[in-house]
Amino acid sequence: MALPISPRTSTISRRRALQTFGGLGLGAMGLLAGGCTITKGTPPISTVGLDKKPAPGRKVNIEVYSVWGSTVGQGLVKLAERFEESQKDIGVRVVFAPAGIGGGSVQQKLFVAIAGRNPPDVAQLVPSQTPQWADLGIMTDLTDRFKAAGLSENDFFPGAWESMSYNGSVWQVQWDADPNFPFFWNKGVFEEVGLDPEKPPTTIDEVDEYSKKILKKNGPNIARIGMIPWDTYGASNSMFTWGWAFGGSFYDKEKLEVTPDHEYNVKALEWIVRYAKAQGGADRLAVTPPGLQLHPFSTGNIGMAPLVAPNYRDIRTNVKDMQIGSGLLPHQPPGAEKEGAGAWIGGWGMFIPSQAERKDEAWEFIKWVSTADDGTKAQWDTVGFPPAYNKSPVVETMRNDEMWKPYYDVLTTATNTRPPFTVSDFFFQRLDQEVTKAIFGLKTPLQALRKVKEDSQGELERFRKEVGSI
Amino acid sequence: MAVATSARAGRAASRNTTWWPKLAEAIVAHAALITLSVIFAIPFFWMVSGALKTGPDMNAFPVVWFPTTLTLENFIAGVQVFPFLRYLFNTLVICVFSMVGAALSSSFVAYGLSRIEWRWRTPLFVIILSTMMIPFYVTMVPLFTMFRAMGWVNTYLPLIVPHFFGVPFFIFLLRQFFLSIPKEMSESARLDGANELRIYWQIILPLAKPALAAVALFQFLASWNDLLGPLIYLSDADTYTLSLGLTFFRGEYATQFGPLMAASTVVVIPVIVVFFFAQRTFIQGITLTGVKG
Amino acid sequence: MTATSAAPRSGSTHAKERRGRSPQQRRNTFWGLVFTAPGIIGLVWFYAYPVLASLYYSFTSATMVRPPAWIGATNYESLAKDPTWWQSLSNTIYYVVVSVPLGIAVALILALLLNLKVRGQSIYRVIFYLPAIVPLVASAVVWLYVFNPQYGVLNNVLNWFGITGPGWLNDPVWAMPAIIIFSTWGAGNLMIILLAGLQDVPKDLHDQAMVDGAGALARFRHVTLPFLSPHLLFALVTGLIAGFQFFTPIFVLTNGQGGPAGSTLVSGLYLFQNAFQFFKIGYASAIAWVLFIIVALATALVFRLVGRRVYYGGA
Repeated sequence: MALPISPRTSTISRRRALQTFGGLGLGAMGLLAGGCTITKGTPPISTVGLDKKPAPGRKVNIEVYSVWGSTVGQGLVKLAERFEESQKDIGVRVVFAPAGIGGGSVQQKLFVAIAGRNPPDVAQLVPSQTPQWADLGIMTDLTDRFKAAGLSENDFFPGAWESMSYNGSVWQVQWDADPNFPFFWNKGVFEEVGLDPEKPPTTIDEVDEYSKKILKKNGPNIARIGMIPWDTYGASNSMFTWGWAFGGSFYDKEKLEVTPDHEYNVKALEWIVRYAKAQGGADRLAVTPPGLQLHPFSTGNIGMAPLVAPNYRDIRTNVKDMQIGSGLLPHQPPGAEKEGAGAWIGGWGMFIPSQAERKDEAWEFIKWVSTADDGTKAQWDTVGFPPAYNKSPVVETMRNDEMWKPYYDVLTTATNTRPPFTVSDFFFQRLDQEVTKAIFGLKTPLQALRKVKEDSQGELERFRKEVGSI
Repeated sequence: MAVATSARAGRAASRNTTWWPKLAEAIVAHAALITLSVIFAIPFFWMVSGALKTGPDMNAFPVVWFPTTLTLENFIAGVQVFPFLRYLFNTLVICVFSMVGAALSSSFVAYGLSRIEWRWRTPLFVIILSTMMIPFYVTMVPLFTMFRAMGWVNTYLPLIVPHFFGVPFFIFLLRQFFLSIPKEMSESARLDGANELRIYWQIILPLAKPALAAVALFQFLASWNDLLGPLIYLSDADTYTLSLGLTFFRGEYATQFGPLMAASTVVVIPVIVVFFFAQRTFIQGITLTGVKG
Repeated sequence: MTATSAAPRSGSTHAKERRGRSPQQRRNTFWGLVFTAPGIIGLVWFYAYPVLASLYYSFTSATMVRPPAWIGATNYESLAKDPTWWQSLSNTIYYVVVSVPLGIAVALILALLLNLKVRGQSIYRVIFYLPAIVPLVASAVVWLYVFNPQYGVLNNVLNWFGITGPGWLNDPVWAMPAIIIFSTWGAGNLMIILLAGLQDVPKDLHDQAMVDGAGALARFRHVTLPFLSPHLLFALVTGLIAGFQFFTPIFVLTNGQGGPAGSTLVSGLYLFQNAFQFFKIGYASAIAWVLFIIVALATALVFRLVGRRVYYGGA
């Protein structure tokens, strides 16, 4: 079962590799590779992979779409196997239906399947898409099943619950609550420039102060930088994170109004723009070359960074000598009152497409994976996502794990989530576009955010007119 | 007759030239070719070197072009994540059928649009050309609905069958080549009593061999690299293709680049080998055959 | 309509009554239908329904699941007032106007080089074609490194000449040029077509011109170019068609955003976003049909302007 996926478990000397090349040639590589791992008679083919057939002899088989490749996808397959072990009636077929081939998180296969009336029994979505997908009639209302299972709002972290429910109904259950983000700093860099490595900045003003000391330039290019606030996992995520850190908000649920031009959002964007300018311009910095497996924080040329858990974990395992401090995100008074105000809950939710055929069994799977004690534990062991269900034993496990502790702190304190409303994807796209315009000086922050408001509010009206509401 | 004149002209030309401009020409040509080769080989080189790199080299920034330590780990991992031989076989099935279908049907239709004078050939050509102008993403969903109604979802049929009914891009390509073939070629055959099918098969197709080879190559590669089609129509892991397999390495936040590069390398090598042996065909023109006897 | 100009005129050899149904004409129509039958069946079977459906959707508020509701020309009206659409269209035209001629020029130069009679051509041919073979995911990664402002190959080379390179994909002004460089570099398919086309240039004509003392440039202009012209027309037309729909590499290089600051948001990408991110199938269909009309007009123009000057050996 163990997969030699980690690219550095063993290294072959150059000489031996050359011999291998000479002797076998590239064509035989596949066989050679097989030969190395066909231990104990396990066929190399079916043991791993991102798909799985249902276990034989089950009363009902459900189909689950898996969104990610790599270790996450393999984890989901194992998770489905664990679910099959936990009961006798339901078999699970996992189908690999990757999100965002090439970029973004668009699920082509799922959409075509839904539009073509051929959906799986369990599918996934980004939590903020819930209202839109619910109104479009894509999702099954889970309220009754949810209540019958004895679940309620209090069982979930508030950031997750915010997107699970819409218009008084429950539409999806978040099985992955991504705590975005703890704040990390490179103690080595702090020491080098005469900062106290145990004293991170707590406010944005302090971030500015620290950054001045950390910045090192190499001609027009930046050799070392304090932080890259304009690329906190993309422009729109940056805007959310720092907007909240300043005390802003993006959507008024009562008035059904988009509020990207909130006073403190504008302040936050002004700060980001000022910051980028002070470092010599956003275009001078190649921040996240996707060719890197490791987040650029690992290079040691970045003083401070918010990081998602897989990035942090990979840096810890790959750059062992790096001393990293962790805490909550700096905030900026008077809009925000406490550290970590900028943090939010991301992740993925599971739902049952409205035309799915085996809804009861699908619900059993969702319930087990996201809320059962053993289910969430199995999920943690196989996939490894923090649960949104706050009574899961995994939460305690996170608290006691040195690596996960910073994420535990965010998970249990963050209340924000990217605003779920009927045109949130449109809103994110516009936010991304306009925020980058401001960063590159093509617009002022206020102009840019007003434009987002104008476009998104118009789109919101259109959606209400053309699609209506559940 | 064409053969004789060209041979004579060729001899005359070689008598009139001395050796040194030829040498200078060769040097300049090689210099240009080698410079360009470097530019064009970079991605391939990068892919192979990435496949052989260890983690630290892979993540090094500034980049490491030549791995400091070679490893086969990536190949071992890369080829194992999906059943490589199975997917190779599946891919080949789709590729070979599509290729044969596209080359046959497109040349057939192109013949009707270029070598025969009839009333509707221009309007028909315009219609076929215009189907290329509609972005695929808006017809994708209705097309899927249609194939589902036909019971073709989860089979290779949607990926293969349409190629047997003429591919507009290839029809246009071949039409241009067919129009370049001197009319006399057909006329003399017609006088000898050959019907159109025979002219198509025995005269036009052999003359358009480089173009047909190009069509076959393009379709092969298009099917080989097609991701969207298999993604949408196939849901059974046993039926997947190599291009789908290559998406297996992309995680939520991090892609496993080492194994991805290794798997890509293994996927690309067969194509390069096929291309290497097929490329002669592209330079076997009408005039070349016979001249150098 | 316009393609007539490209169609060979051979009335002289086939002097026949204009409208009469001579046996010859009837036979030609029969064979014409026989040969194009697969194409006609294909059109009806695989194109008619999806194409008409998308045309219908463009007049509806079609989403995904709900039955589409007729809203008349609303989508087209909103499109006319959508600044993002206009921005995407101007980005698209920028891309097409620069990349199509550039791509053809590069492919032509490569094909001419590969057609030289020197040693090792089979190796060069493989190498020049590599960009068309290597999967996009792999080549995109390389180019992200090439364009990296700090450590990238390109800016390092520029540095040798004392030039401080731009931020390329990080810079709204230089992102599109970077994309154009990337797609030009993948001109392998066109190169193969032109290489195949070069084989039709009769060698005796070339040699004759050489004997007559014509220089290399004159020979290219008066011998090679006419024989290549059908294929250059093909390159131009298909380049236009593909150029207006182009977006996949942008998707990969900019993580689906068309950034920075919308500078590489082309119409194809905007269409995709509308269909699959915003679920506005109706709106996306309207974009598709407007694009269709633009491309059709551009193609018609090309046939009118260039089509006449194309030399068909068989005409």
